[in-house]
Order: sequence, then C-alpha cells, then structure tokens
Amino acid sequence: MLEISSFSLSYVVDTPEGVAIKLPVAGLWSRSAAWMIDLLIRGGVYIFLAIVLSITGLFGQGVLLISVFVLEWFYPVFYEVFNNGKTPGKKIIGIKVVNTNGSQLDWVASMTRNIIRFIDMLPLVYGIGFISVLLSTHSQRIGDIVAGTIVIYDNQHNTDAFDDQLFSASNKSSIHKSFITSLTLDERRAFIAFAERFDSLSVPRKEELISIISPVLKKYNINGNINSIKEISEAIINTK
Amino acid sequence: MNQAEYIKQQSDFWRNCEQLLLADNDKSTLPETYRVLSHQLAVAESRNYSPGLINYIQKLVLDYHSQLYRQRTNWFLSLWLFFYKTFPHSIRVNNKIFFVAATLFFLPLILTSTIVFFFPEHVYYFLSIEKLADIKDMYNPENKVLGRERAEDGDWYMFGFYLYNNTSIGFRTFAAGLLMGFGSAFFLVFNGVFIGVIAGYLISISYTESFFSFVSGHSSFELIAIALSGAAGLMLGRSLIDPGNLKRKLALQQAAKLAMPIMQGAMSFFFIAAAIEAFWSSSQSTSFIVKISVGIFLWLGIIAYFLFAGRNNLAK
Repeated sequence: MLEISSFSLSYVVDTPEGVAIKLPVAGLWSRSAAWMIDLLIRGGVYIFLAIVLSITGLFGQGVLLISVFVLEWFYPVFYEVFNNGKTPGKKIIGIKVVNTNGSQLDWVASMTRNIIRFIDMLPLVYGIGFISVLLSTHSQRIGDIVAGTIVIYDNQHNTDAFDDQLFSASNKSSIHKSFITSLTLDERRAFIAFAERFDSLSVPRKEELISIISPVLKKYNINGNINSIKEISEAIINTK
Repeated sequence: MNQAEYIKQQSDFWRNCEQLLLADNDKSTLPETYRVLSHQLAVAESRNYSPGLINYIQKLVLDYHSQLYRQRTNWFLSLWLFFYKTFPHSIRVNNKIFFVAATLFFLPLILTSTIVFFFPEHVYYFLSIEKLADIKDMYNPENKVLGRERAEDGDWYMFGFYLYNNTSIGFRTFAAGLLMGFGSAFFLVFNGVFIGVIAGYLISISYTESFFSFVSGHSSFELIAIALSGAAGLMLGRSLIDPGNLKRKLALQQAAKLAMPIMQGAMSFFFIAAAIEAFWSSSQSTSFIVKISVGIFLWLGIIAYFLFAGRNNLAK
C-alpha cells in the first residue's frame, strides 16, 4: 500500500553482546560545516597570537610558527583522542569521529586520518576528500578509509519523541479503526515515526509527507489534513 | 507489553543510565548496565516499538559501547615502550622497504653531489642563479651565524621554521604513498637531488668547512627522518599494489597501522633535528672539530640504536 524507504545511511556494528548498533553516518554538509567552524577557530587563534606576540620580536614569531605547526597538524588529533572524537566545530554541529567498531579513537588512528588529510586536501580545497565522501558508502574521506574511522551524528539523549506517550494513553483509539487495522507493520511504523517527528518538521514538509499517502487516505474517506494524521498516528501508538 | 507501559516501567532506569555515563561516577556497574541495555534494545526491536524509543535506547547502547571498549593509555609507559622497543623493532621488521626508501633518497643525493662537485657548471641545470646566491650567502664562512640570516634572538624563530617546514615535508612524503607509492618515491628522489646539488655546489666552491660544520649536527636525524617517512609511505603504496590475500582497503588499513610507529619515530626525529639545527648547528663559537665529532657520534649512535635497541623480550 505505501512505499516506505529509508534515506538515512547507517553503518551497522555487531557488538559482542549480540545486538546490532546502527551508527548514523554524517554527510558531506555537516562535515564541511564543522570543518569551517574549526577553520575559523584556528584562524582566530592565529590572529590573536600574531597580535599578542608581535611585541616580542623574533622569539614571538618563533612561538607563532610552532603554534601554527601544532594546530595545523594536531588540533584535530587532540580533540579526537581526548574529547571523545569531537573537535569544537564537530561538537557545535553535533557529529563525532569514532572507529568503525563504534569505539573511541586512539592516538594511532587519529594520527593516521589527520596525516592522510594532506591527500584529501589535494588538488584544491579538499578535492579528493570531497569526491571520496560522495562516492564511499559511509561518507568517508581517504583518511577515514585508511584509519578505519567514520564520522557519525552524535545527538543528545532525546526522550522528547516519546515523553508525552506516557500521558496520552487516552481513549482515542476508536478513530478510523478500519483504516488502522488494515495497515501493515511497516506502515504503522511510518505513522508512529511521523508522530514522533511531528514537532521537528515544518508545516510544508508535513504536508509534503502526507501528500504521498493521500490517494490511500481518499479511499478510506479520511481527511488528509495535518491534525487528523497526527490523531491517527497517536491512535496507532495507543492500540499497540 | 504495550510501549507506554514499557516506558513507564523503565524510564527511571534509563535516567540512571544517562547519569552513569557522565564523568566522575562510579563505573563499576557499567558492564552490567550495558548488557541490560543491549537486551532491552533487542526486546524493543522485536516488539516493534516506535523508532523514537528504539533510537533512544540505541543511543544509550552506543555510548556505553564506546565507553566500555575504549582504549586506555598510560602515556609515560607507552612513550618509554615506544622508543625502547616498538620504534627500532618496527624498522628492523620492515628493513627491506626501509633500504629501498633510503636508496631512493641517498643514491640521488650522492650522485648529484658528486656530479656537481666534479662539474660545477652543471649546477645551473638544477637551481636558478638567484637561488644559488642565497645559498652561497647562507654558508659564507665570514657570517656571524651559519644558515639562514637572523637577528640575535632568532633561534626560536628558526626552531619554529624548521619544525613546521621539515615535519610537513615528512608528513607529505608519507601521505603521498597513497598514490601507489609513487608520491613517496618522488618526494624522496626530489629531496635527495635537491640536497645533493646544494652539498656538491658548496663543496665545489670550497665552503666545505662552514657547510659541514652547519649540517653535521642535525643531518643524521633529519636525513634519516626523511627516509623513514618515505619508507612508511612506500608501505602504504605496497599494500595497494600487492594486497596479498586481503581486500585492498583492508590491506591498506593494516599497512597504515604498521607504518604509524615508523612515522611517529620520524616525527620525533624531525623534532630533534629542528632543535639541533636552530640552537646548535648555526653557532660559530663551537670549533669545527667539535661539531664534526658530535655529528659523527650522532650518526653512529642512531645506527647503533636501530641495530641493537629493544631486541630483548617484549614482555619486559
């Protein structure tokens, strides 16, 4: 009845405990944005140091050169090893680097992916890295592939989605009963996912999503506006 | 069980789990909690609970997983072990590829310096007249300090300069190994030719003493570090050309793991070389004999280190 496809890419890790964890792979844009923020931070530090150290003459310039060296090559390494895979830019965007087994990076993996960065930066602003991220299944640049690392989304623990389910166990379950019983498992899930993401979607996006199933709704004589779909979704949750 | 009931039953436990993840908590219950969460994830998936709930449990499981399987490092111990054992050992294990890299670097160096020494006019094939004039200035025996010109307090500046420049060359030589090894080979030959030409040229215009007195101190660390970076790069290239029974990607990942100790050793050598070059090599107050002796001593010391260090049991 409905065609459900998932657009989110994820990397599945089988843990020794016998459950599969899905790592939500971060894409090109969030990675670029994080990189841009880190670039601005480093640039700010350089300008600040250049101004402060300019009064100390050549000694100061030496310190500046050493700082440039350390920051250009080791800034990401430091944060990846000691701050759970998150540079400040990545933290703001909400992504982090982990090993492909889901664990935190060690010094060797982090050094590898950051030295190989030189190749990713060729020939112009991250040309090779750009192509590699687009082509590889899990959005890895060359450095990630060599080091066996992956960049994933790192959202906060979020209970918003099902918080109100605790209290909404009312008796709306009689609505559109014939429609709900005709739904398959996957279709029910789609409705529930819609309800859980309800507050984070914009109105046009909600309408767009609903328009996909409007032919079906018409068959059951259901009004395809946003609120009635939300009611149906909540009803499905409560009939579980 | 209904999802709402399940959430009601478990929500206190989950709040506790979130608390436990934060720093400075007692971590002794972490493995057990992780197992419980893993179980709950499997249960939630099999009961078709909503994506929001499953994602929430999954995020908890993921965080516990990365806490539990994190590598903990004793930095001082691993640093000591690295120089005492891992680094010299990894050179010996990969001695063939190290000799290839060293040949690619030192052979052009010796060849071009010999050619330029006997036929000084050939130097113009390699370097422009302005560049040669610069180099001549740097090693003029009448200079107060050797090497690049600088003010009184320039030592720190030069340290920063050499550190940034030379280590970056090393990193590039390594990373370029991804181009099937040809990138590393190119950087090795290129640097070998360049250094050889300058050496040959300075000897041919009889700046011999000032040249050797400048380079003798740091030459061992710097030249070997370049060869090491090249060797590490060639290891990457070899894994791509000849991956053996593995997939290329896997072979490359394994080669990178084996090459990293060599690269870290090269980094520390670049660091030492930069310090010697900035603070010791350029001074004119130390006599030529002392400088040459120190230089030879360091060369022999490094060779002995690679030959003999860390040959006893790893268990120690």
